[in-house]
Amino acid sequence: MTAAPAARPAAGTGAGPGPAAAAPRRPLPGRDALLGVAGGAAFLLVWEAVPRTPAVSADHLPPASEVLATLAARSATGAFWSAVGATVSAWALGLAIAFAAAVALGLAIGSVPALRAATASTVEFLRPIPSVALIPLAILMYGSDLRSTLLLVVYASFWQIYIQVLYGVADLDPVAEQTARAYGLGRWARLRHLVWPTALPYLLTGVRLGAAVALILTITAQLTIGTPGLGQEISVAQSSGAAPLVYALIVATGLLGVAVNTGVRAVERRLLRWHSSVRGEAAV
Amino acid sequence: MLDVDGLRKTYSGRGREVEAVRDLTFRLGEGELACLVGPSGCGKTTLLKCVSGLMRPTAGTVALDGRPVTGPPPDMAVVFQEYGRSLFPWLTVRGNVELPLKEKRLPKARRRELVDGALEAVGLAHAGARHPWELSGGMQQRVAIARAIAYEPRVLLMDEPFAAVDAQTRADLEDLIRGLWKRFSMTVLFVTHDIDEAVYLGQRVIVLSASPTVVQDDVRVDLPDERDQLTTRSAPRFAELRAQVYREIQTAKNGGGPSGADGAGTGGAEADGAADPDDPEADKGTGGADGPERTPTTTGGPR
Ligand SMILES: Nc1ncnc2c1ncn2[C@@H]1O[C@H](COP(=O)(O)OP(=O)(O)O)[C@@H](O)[C@H]1O
Ligand SMILES: [Mg+2]
Repeated sequence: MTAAPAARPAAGTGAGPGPAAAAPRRPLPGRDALLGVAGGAAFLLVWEAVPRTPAVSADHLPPASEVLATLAARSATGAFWSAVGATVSAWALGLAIAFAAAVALGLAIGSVPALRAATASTVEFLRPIPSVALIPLAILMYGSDLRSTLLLVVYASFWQIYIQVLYGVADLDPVAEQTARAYGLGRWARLRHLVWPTALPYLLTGVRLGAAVALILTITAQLTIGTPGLGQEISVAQSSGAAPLVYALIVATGLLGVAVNTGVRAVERRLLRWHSSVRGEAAV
Repeated sequence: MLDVDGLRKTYSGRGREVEAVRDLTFRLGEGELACLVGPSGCGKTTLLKCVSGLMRPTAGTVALDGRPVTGPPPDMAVVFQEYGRSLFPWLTVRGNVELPLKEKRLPKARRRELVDGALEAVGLAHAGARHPWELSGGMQQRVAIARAIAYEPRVLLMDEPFAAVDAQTRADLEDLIRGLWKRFSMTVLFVTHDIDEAVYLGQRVIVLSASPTVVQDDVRVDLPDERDQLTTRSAPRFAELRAQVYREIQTAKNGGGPSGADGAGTGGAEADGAADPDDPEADKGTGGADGPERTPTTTGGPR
C-alpha cells in the first residue's frame, strides 16, 4: 500500500518503448502472487482434510494427495497424452473454424448497417440456443465422428466471437473513418488499416470467451457422444468406478482451461500494446 | 483553383431537417491562404466536408481546377479538429504519417524521404517511433499536420485545428502553419471561430453568418507578409481588420442575415475572438432546427 505510488511516475514519463511492462499495472504483484499461492495451498489442505472426516466419504471425494498422485501416474502414460492431444486438437480446430467464420461474417455484416439490422432478429434467436441441445442432432448427422464434436464447438464459440466483432465494427470512430477516406484509403485499405485494428480488442475478447466455451463443449461432446479425448476418458473412468482417476482427469481439464485462458491473455497483451486497456499509463 | 458555388447542405434524418449551410459561394486562388471564420454551429465543418468530397452537398457544386469534386481528391489533405480521434493509436507517429503514402503506392525510399521531411518540418523528427497517445495535444496536432504535409497536397483544409490546444501552443502552431504554407506553396483553407486567429493567419478572411449560413463578407488582410505574434497583433491595422470582421459577424447576428435566424446566444464568446478554446460541440443543435425551409434567399452572400 505504501510503495504503490512509486511505480506511477516511471510509467508517466513514457520513455521506454515497451509500456506494457507488468510492473506498473498492479500495486504489488509479489503480494498478490503470494496470496494466490497461500489460497491455493489452503484449498488443497481443506480438500485433503475433508475426506478424512466422517462428513464426506473418501469414495466420493478422494483426498487431494491421492488425486494428484493418480494424475501424476496417469500423465506418465501415452494414452493420457493422446487423449489430451485429441481434446486440444478438436478444441483448436473448432475454435479456428468459428474464428474464421465469425470474423468474415462479422466484418461483412457489421460494415453494412442494413445487413446488420436484417440479420439481428435471426441472430438473437439462434444465439441463445444452448449448444448441448444440438447433441442429438450432431449424433444424428455425424454419429461419434469428430465432426459432431466440431459442430457443437463451432456453434458455441462462433456466437461469442461474432457478436464481439459486430461490437468492434460498430465502434469505428467516424472521425478516423473520414480521415482515412480523406487520405485516399479505399474500402479494402480501410478494412485492413482501420476497421480491423478497431475491432481487434473486441475480437480478442470474443476469442477469449469463445476459447473457454469451446473447451467446455469439446469435453461435453467427448463425454456424451464418446468421441476420443479427455471427456471420453472421464466417462470410461467413471464406468469402471475409479473415483480418483475421474478427479484426476477433471483436474487435467481444469489445468487445460487455465492454460487456454493464460495463452489468450498473453496474445491479447502482445497485440494490444497500443490499446488503453493494456498500455496502462495515465495519458494526459 | 477551388470554386465553391451555391453550396447548400440540409441534413435530414429521423424526420427532421437541419439546414446547416444555406448558400455559400466563394473562390480560392492558387497558393492562397484564406481563413473562414464564423460562429460555432454555423456549418463550417459541414462546408469543409463538402469541399473535401467526404459529403455530398444538397445543392451547389465544389470544383477543383474546374473539375467537380465528387470524392476525396488525391491532391487535397485535411486536418481535423479532433486530432486525438484522427490519428490511429495502433500506429506510431511515423506509421500514421506514412500510411496514406503507402496507399498512394509510393516507393519505400520516397516514403521515407517524405515522412522524414514532414516530421522535420513540424519539429517532431525525434518522435517518429512514439505512439500518438504518448504525446501532448499540441504534438498530436503537429503529427496530423505532418501527415497532411507528407501527402504533398495542393490544397490543405484545416478545421479549427487549434481550438483544443492551449494559447501558447496555439501561437506556435499558427506560426508553423504560415511557415509551411510559404515553404510548400499550398492553397490553404483554414477554418476557425476565432477572429484574431483568422486575421493573423490569413491573406483573406471569409466571414460566415450565423445559421442560416451565407457568406457575410470577404475581407482582404493587407498586413505585411512577415507576421509575428507580438508586432502583428499589436499593429493598428490588425485592430482595424479585427474590428471589421467583428462588426460583420455582429451585423449577421442582429438581423443582418435572412429571417429565421433564431439568434441563439452562441455568438458572443467566439465573435469576441478571445483565445479561449470553447467547445464547438456545445452549440450543436441550436441552429435553425425547425428553420423556415421555404425561404431560400437565393441571393448569394455579398461578395
Ligand atoms: N450529421 C448531422 N446531422 C444533423 N445535423 C448536423 C449534422 N452535423 C452537423 N449538423 C448540424 O449542422 C449545423 C452545422 O454544424 P457544423 O458544420 O458542425 O458547424 P461548425 O463546424 O461551424 O461548428 C449545426 O446546427 C449542427 O447541429
Ligand atoms: Mg466544426
